[in-house]
Amino acid sequence: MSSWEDLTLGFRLAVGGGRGTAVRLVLATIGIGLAVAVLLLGASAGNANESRQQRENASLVNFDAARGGDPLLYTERTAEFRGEPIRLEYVHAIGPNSPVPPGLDRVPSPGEVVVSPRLNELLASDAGELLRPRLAGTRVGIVKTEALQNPRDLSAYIGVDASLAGYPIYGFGHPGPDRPLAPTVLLVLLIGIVALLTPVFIFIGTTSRIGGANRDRRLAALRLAGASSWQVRRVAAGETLVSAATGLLAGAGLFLLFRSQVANLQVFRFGLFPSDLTPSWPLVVLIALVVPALTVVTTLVAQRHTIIEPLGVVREASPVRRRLWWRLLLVVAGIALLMPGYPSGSDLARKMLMAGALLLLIGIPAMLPWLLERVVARIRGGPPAFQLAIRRLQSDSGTPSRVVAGLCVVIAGAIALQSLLAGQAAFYSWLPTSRQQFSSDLIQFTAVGGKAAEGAVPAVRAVPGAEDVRSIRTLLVSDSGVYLGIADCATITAVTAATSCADGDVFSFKEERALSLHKGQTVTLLDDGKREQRWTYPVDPRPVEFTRGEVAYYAGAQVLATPGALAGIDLSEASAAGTVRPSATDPDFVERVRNAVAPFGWRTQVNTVDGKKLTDEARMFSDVRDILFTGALFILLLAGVSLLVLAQEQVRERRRAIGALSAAGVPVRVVMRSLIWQNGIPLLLGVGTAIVTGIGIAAMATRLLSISLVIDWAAVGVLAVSSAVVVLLVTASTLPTVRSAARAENLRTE
Amino acid sequence: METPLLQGLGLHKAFGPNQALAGAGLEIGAGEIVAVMGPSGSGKSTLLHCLSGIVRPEKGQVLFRGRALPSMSDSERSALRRTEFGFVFQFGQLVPELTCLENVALPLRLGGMKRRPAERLAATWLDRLQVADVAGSTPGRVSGGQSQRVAMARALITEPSVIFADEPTGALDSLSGEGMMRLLSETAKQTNAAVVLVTHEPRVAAYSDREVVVRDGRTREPAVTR
Repeated sequence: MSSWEDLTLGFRLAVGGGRGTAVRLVLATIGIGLAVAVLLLGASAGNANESRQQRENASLVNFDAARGGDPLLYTERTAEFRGEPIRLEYVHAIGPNSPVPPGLDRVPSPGEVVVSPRLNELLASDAGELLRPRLAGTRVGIVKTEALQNPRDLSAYIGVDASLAGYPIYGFGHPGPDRPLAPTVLLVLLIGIVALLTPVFIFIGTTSRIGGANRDRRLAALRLAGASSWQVRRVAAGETLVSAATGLLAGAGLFLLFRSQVANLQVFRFGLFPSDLTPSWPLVVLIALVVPALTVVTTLVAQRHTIIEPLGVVREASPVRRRLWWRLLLVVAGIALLMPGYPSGSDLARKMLMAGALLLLIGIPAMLPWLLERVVARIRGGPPAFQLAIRRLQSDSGTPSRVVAGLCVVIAGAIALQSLLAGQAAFYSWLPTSRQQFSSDLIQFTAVGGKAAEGAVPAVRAVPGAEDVRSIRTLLVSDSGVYLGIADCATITAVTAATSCADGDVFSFKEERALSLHKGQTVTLLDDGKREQRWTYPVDPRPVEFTRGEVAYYAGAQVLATPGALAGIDLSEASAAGTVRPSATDPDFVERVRNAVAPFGWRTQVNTVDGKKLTDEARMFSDVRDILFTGALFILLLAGVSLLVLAQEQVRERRRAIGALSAAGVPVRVVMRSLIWQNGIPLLLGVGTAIVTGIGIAAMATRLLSISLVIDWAAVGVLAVSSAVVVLLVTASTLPTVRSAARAENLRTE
Repeated sequence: METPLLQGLGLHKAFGPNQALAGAGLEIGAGEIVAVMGPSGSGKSTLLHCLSGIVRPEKGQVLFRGRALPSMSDSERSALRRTEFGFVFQFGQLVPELTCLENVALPLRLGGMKRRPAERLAATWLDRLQVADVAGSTPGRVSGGQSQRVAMARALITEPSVIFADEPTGALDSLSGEGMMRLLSETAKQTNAAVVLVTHEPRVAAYSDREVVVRDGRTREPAVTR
């Protein structure tokens, strides 16, 4: 029989044999299919990122006057509606040749608005009632979806008067600044990819072992009929290739299904177009080759300690005790790479950190089977359910530890990354953890330019329920780049620690020592009309504490002067900053304030105190953290499915034993409890190992990166609890199969 | 004296602390049916496995047509099982995923024969053993007696020189068992195949030409020759 014919026989065995074979094939297809779908998503990441970058670049404005033509007056602002960002672009065409923004047919005239499809939906809905006054112009079109950053973006182009537009631009689209990822973000992403992909490969391997015992029996029958040991290997490979092929097809189907629906999904700030999810062809080919190869290799490796003989399956006479040395080698090498004192933050430190972290992560699936074998070998006694589970684990600790190992790599990776990112986040004051100290019901607003400043403050005061409206006017001290705030004494005593104040007084921010301000010092003040005025300090500024979150602190003013100290200075073009508090709890109060100042367009901005914008890098960390956490939970789900597939298979293979137990009077609940122990003990051990490894990696990494170690216990808790829930659900799902297997009459038919 | 077709000499085999064979031996000539009898655990199945080359003895020799089986490679022994030996066991010898017809054709196909001629021949054997009606069924869907006949058809399709039968009627009722043994002995005589028949049932052993008793891993030939 030729090699091809051996493989064909394998194909035939994989699809023949009725319901049992079909169930086995379906289970393997689900397991491999899910993993393939994840791999295809991974293979699309590059293209998705590139497409996003291209769209982002296409929307960048070009200031190059040399391009000629009529300019477009343009300003872009990010507004907010009920916590969701809305990108507003104010435009005014100077002439017929002014550049048209991407996704539009023409530049909207003053009073016209072009909105994104989702914003259009929102404005048309009841939920958008409070938003309508802000976009009161005539809606003359919809932005073409392909010009948006994300399919579900809220954005609008607003046609305004020249006075309200911004600066001249001469085109859209730019090669764009190359924004490489911050090295630490890159490091985090690489560890994340390994942490998420390693389990996928482990699951593919584990899934291809489904039905291993039956397959071995089948192959033994072939041996009896005269097949050589190499022939049965080829037959086994053929069988496995069928599930790999169906898994690949199912994975591709799942991927395409996800792709078709992706435009409706928005994870955090990211949304994708279906076309973004186009995997790179070389990677598709690689997946199509690696997945079947991996399944075949796993099948053959699984038979390493099994001699398929004509009489049946013969395990090697004395069970081979798992060797520790090579497993320990991975862990020791990992720790060794992370221990030495490399120059903090250096490229070498980062490389060593990555290699060390990867070795430790790979060390988990290597160590766990050994650890489980040793632990269960020492366990004695316990109630019958526990004893049954332990005996089962003693006879085969390989499969359960392999399944759990995949899950544990995810948990360890996620814990390490969450802790690493939490530590890194401590650098950025605007990350969620540090936002809390400012949290209050205070609402802050700014108005740029005299007209907006003079109009906005009364408009805010007029909002029903507005209380404690405090405002200051601001000018830039161009010599030092600091802001001068102008406010009356009532405001100054309310927003600083000053206990006394008289018109003519000047105060400086106590923490701003470097300015060394003094009486007689002359500085240049700059207003929004870019007009310069010379001002001499009439008195020595009194250093005071500015109250955090209050208007002077928030507006970034380092000097506060009463109007009497600014005699002769024209404040008509000074900007304004202010705060307002609602008299009663009203979640939409901020939206009413935004509507009140909307007539001033981009020149006004309203924020809740905890709605401050994140810095770009902090935002990136926050996003990466959220995405990795979601990824970890998704892979956990994948692990759950894999565990489910194996648990079902395990019960199916042990139907006769379960039937015999039941016939001997063992209640089904004892069998179920034993299954919980059987899945729970490896998981408990694995999660423990994962937590230690994850925190260990984070501890060593934070030392190397010179950032503080902040263990994200919430993430640890969520992941550990999710794992426990997965085990319980998986075990519960096997109950019907166990019940059916426990029927004593099965003993006759099995 | 004519050289025996198959010879087992001074065979020793242990499984862990259990000494299954301790110097057992057996000789069988072409067309001869020998019943190997003995109590449970006496080593009779192990003797059959050693004689058929499935298990290598630790000590002793197995010669088939003068060739030593233990020194053959795995592929040589596999080829021997495919062409010269046939097996009928109590259960477990059929591949559940294949139809009965495909099971019977399997040794021929493993030997390189094309599917159609192999299955044509398999159909004639199924017909000969009166189970042609189950050709398209999988083993799980046929009765124990039919399954054993299919296994016998598979054992005989290559017209082997030796048939190894280990408790071939163990899973059958006495009537089916009788029918099975009658068919086996008749077909063996027709094809001049030797049969090594392991059983603990005297009724089954009655179909043999002579009996060998295994006890504590040693063979003893009683003075009963039919």
